Amino acid sequence: MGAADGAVVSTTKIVDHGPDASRWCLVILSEGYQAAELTKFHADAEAFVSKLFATPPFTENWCALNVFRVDVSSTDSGADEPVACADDPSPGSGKTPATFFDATYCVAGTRRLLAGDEALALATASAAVPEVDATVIIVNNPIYGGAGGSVAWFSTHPQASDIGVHELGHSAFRLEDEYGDAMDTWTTGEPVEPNVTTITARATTKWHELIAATTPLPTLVRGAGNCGGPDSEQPSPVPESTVGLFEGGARARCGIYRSMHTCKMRILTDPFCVVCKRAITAVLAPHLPQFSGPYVGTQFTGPVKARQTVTWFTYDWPACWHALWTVVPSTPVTPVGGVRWETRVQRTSRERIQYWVAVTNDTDQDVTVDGRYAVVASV
Amino acid sequence: MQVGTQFTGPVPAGATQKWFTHSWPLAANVVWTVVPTTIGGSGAQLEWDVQVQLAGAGLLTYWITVKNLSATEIQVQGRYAVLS
Repeated sequence: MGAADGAVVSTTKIVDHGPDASRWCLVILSEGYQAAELTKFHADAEAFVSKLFATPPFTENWCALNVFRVDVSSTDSGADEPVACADDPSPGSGKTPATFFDATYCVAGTRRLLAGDEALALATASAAVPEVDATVIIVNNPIYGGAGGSVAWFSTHPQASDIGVHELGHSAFRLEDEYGDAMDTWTTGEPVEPNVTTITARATTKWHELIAATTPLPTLVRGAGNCGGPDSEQPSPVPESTVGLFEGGARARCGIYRSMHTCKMRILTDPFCVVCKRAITAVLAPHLPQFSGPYVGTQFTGPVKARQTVTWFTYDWPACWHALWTVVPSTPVTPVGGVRWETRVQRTSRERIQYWVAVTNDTDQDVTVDGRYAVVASV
Repeated sequence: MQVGTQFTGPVPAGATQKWFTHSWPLAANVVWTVVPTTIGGSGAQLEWDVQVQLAGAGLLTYWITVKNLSATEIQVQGRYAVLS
C-alpha cells in the first residue's frame, strides 16, 4: 500500500497573501479520501483553516500565511485500524484500506497516534508547492487521532480542527506537549522545545523575563508521591493568566514545567499559552508583508442633503491593510457647521473587509462630499 | 513604520467594550483601527471611537471603545500604526 493506491489530483491556493517565496506556506494534504469524497475534503480543509484563523496568534499573523489544498485521492476510504494496540484493551476493526499515504492508528502502541508515510507526504507537498514551510494531512476517518512529527496528521473526529492546530504546534513550531501521561518523572535533562523546562531558578528559567517577581516558583507542583497518578487537572493557585512554572509537560507528570496553567498544547480546546504564542509569532512574523504605501484616493463622491445622513459602503478591501477614512465637502457651505462621519466595518471573509462610511450633514444646506481613504500600513 | 495588534477579544451582541493601553510616547503619531475577526453575514459589524489622555511624563493612554452593531458576539482585533 502507498502511492500506488491513489493519485495527486490538483493543487488549489485557498489563502493568498502574495508571493509564496515571502509568505509562510502551509500545505494541506488529503489521506484516505476516495475521488468521490474530495468535496468532503474541501469542507474539512476549510474547517481547519477557519479554526486556524480563529486561533491567536495565527489571527494577528494571518497576513503572513499562504495556504494550499492538495487533493490526493485514495483507492479506499479511511485509515488502518489495527486490531491490537498496546495501550488499548478494546480491539480495533482490523481494517486496512488501500490509501495513498498508508496512514494508520496505533503508532508506537498508542491507539490515538495516527500517522503514515511522512517522507511521501513531504515529497508530495514540496512537489505541489516548492516553497512549503509546513504540511498537515487530514485523514478521512472519524476516530480520534493525530500526531505531530515532520508533518501534522489528524483525523476527521469532531475535534479534528483543534487536533490539527495542536499537531501543527508540534510539527511546525517545535512545541512540546504540556501534559503528562506516559511517564512519572522527566529524567532526560533540559528539553530543546521552547515551552517546557526543567530549570526552576528564577533568573535562568526558559521564560524568566515573562514571570512577575511576585509569582511563586515553582507555581504549581504535583507533590511528593503524587507523580504516579493520572494527570488530572489541579486547580491553579494563581490567576489563569499568570506565567510561572507549572509541573507537568512533555508527557511527564513530574520534574518538568510548563509556563501557564493551561495551553492548547495541554488541552485541545484552550488557547495557546503566552510562551507558545511567542514561539509561533517568532516563526510567522518575518513572513508578514512589507508595506510599500501609503496609498490614497477618493473612493466615493455624492450629495448629502441638509440635516441628513447618507451611508456609503465599499467592499473587497484586504483585511491586511490599515485603511483610514476621511470625508470632506467638495462644495462650499455658507451656514455654520459641517459634515461628520463614522466608519463601520464588516469582515466578509478571512481575507476581505467591507467599510461603511456614514456621513452626516450638520448644516442647513445640501452639500456634495468626497470620501477619501488612506492605506497607511499593512499588518 | 511600526504596526501591530494591541488587543483582541470578544464583544457581545449589541454591547460596547472599552480597551485601554498606556505609555505611548507623546511624540508618536499613532492611529488606531479595529476590525472584526468573526466573519459577518450582512451589514456593518462594529464601529469604534478613540479617546486619549496625557497621563504625565510625556506618555499617552489611549482608550478604544468598540461597539458591536450585530446580533451575535464578535471577536475583534485592535490594531495600531505608528506613522512617525
